[in-house]
Amino acid sequence: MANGEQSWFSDGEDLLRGVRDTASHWADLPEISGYAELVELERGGQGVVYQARQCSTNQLVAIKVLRSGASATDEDRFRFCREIELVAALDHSSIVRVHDSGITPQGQPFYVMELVDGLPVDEACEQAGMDLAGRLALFAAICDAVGHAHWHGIIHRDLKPRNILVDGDGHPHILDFGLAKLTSDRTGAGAAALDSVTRSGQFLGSLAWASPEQVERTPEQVGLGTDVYSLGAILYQLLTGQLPHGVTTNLVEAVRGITVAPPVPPRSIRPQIPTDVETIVLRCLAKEPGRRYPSVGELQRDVRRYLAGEPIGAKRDHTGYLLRRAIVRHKIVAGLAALLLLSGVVFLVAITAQYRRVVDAERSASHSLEVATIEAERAEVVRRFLTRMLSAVNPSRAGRDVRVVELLEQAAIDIDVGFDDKPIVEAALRHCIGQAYRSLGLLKQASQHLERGLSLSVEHRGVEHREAIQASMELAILRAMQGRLPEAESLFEGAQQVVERCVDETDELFAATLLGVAGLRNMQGRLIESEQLLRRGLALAAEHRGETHPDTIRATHNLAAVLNRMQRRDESEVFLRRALAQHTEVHGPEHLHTVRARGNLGVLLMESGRLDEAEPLVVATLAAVRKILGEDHAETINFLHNVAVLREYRGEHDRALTLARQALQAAEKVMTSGHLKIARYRSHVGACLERLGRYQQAEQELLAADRDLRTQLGDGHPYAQKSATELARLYESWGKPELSSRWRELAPGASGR
Amino acid sequence: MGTRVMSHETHASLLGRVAEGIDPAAWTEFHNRYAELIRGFARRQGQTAADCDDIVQEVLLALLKVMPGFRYDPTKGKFRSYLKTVTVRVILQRRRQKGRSSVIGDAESPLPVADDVVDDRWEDEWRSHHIRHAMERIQPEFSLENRRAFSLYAMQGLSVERVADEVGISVNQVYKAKSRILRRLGEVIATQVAEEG
Repeated sequence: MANGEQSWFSDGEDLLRGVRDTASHWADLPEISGYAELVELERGGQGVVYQARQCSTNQLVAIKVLRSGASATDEDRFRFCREIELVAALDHSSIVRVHDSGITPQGQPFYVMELVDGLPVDEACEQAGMDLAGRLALFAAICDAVGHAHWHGIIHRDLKPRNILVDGDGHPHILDFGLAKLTSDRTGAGAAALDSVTRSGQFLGSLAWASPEQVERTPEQVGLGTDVYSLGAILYQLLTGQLPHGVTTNLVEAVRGITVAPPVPPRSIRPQIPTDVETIVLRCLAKEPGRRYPSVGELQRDVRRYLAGEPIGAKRDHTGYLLRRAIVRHKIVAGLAALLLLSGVVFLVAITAQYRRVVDAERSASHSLEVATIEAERAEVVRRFLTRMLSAVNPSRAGRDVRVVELLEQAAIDIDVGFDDKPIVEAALRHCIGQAYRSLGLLKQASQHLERGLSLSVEHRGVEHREAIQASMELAILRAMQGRLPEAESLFEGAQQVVERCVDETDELFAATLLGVAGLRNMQGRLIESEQLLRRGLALAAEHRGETHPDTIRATHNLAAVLNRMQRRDESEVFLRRALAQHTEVHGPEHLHTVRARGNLGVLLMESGRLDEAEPLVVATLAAVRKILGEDHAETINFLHNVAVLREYRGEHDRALTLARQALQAAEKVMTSGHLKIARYRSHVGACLERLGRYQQAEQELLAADRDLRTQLGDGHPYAQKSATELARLYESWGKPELSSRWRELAPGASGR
Repeated sequence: MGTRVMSHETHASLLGRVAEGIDPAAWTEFHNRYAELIRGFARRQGQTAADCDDIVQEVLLALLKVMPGFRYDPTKGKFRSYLKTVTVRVILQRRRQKGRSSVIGDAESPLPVADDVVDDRWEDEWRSHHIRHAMERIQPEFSLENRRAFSLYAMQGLSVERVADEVGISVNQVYKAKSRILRRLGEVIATQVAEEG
């Protein structure tokens, strides 16, 4: 071989033969229609980047062709396209735009983005000889872009200087947003981050900026905090010229450095770095995601505060502390009987809104005398009704314990006697009262009013009138809450058909309908449909109603719930935290909506195995919901169940069983027999018994629950599969392997717990 | 990405940086440089595309374990023989594991090949590897026109007139592009091979 070695590349013809055989990428450019003049720019673990000319615009663009290619499945490609669609929706001057995407004829996914001429941020700072303030301002601009993407539910996951180019004007451009995921967890949800990143060699190149949760193979913890960590590592590097943990030669040591060892304080490398700035960096680099800045926005604000000479927030209380304090305050407030009144206020707000709508209508409808007359009459009736009701809340007469229920009962009586000749007004009021009963969990009473309201609306307004559509949606939601899914489905579908035919996309009703149907699909376990509906509903609501509109917040919240059920916890967390922030902003920290969002965040964290973070949230939520809604409300029972599950995860099986039994008993008391929830709670009681080795009792409960779940939901539903998994587990522990494997077969997709 | 091109450094200093373990970028560079070689060889050894990814990973992880403290010593043999040994071993291990885990499907797995065939395949892959890297390395030195001319004329074998027409340069420039690029490739490969030892 030694001789051949000397000659093959020094002889032109031999070399040329080699070049041809190599089928090098110089000649082997992918064919991407609509783009010409491809020139390779860079070849990396994820794939190859080309410069190309976009034929339609004659602009130079960059095309990234991903490596996966031949081994990618259809599902991979579907996922790729969906992710790209999300990323392409990002619109921020510092996020490199994705213009186009697709699959090459060779089967390789690609995406097209703007071509940036710039240097990696660390080199750019060095080359420009930037001072501290300059570097921090640039960093804040980077945070702004990352925060924007987070707001849209997209986490970068691979932030590092190479992915942040700074152009000649000093403007940063972040590449590959959300795309690390495409090449990293190809095998789907279960793939450990480390495996996946090493696969493409990315890990080795990104190790210095990777967060503890990424290197510790806990991908379920990868979330917003992951990007905060990487940003911290980048800032560390920009300030000190070094990496927070010098990457050692030994992989094990390197991982230990990131997961255990505290970073060398920046000021010990460069004493001239201000203490505040060091505080900011170190807070980003906290090992536990929960101890970092809760959002990139917070981080950015601190950097800007520092630049403006204001005190930074990082030294102040952490969110966890603030939250605990809020809960303590909440307890004091909750101690007053005021909470029942609080729900009363909700009800009154609903009525008042109705009243205001009528008054508005009165004004705007002046073009039609007839309409005006009807509406004015309505307004007057509603006003009288309100006055009478409000006078009933007179504490001197009824004492401070005027209960909303009594108020509603009074209203119901009034309505039964007084509205014979005004069916339209009666329908509107029944609608309100029904909703109020529903939100109090008094479903039977709610049903009466909503049914009556719907039939009045249909009779006197026609099925296509928006009040009729609203009424049928409200009833559909109620039916879903009652567990009567087929009825809910037919009501929703009816409403949806009318809406699609008669209502404009920009109309509030349109988005509301999408969200309603999405909720139903979620309950039916049709999660992909639910996600699609929610994303569309969210986009419409946010665009036409604004970020703080109830529909926008509800959509955000529900999307988080659906993503969570799909095990896409990191995306879910993004939306959930956003919903929580929105609820807090709009309603304050003690409102039911806020409490509920906080509780759901607790559940999410719990399911991600972050039990320490979850516990205070879940426990406090149960207490809060109990006080707001009372012991017998379905939501209270649900949170009781959640605390039971938490105890189980903690291995406190006795406590778990007690709580699970409480939840089951409460559910049996207030829900109609055969309700889905009862079966779910029963199943959990069975699971707790199994953990305690009480196999016979466990079997009884689990089989009973399984029967109900299967009858109502069918074998394919995740709940039914989960139930089968529990039974398989029971028989395994019990030493009955044949039975265990029979049940195991019924739960093909389900895993462990 | 951008218009910036990957930095190219000499192999000896790259090995040095990897061995010192200070710089993560060194590993990325190392990976980028050798992944294709390992993948291509594994492919020729009859591995599936998906298995090739895993093999690349395993080989690099195996190197990661030994590289710290690795001191290049020409008397102890060539880096490329070492890399070949590791890669062949990983592929064999994998084949054995597969043989254990699956009862059916063995009929499709390729028969063991004689050592000299393995050597030839490795040499072919290794040449391709150097050509690829040399081409990457010299890319910034030549204009797009020159590269396209080379690609169409020298690699794809189109007639010189057609290439001149398509690229929009003179026939003479096409010839010149070919000879200049080829000469430069030869020089760069000579350096790479010398550095690699």
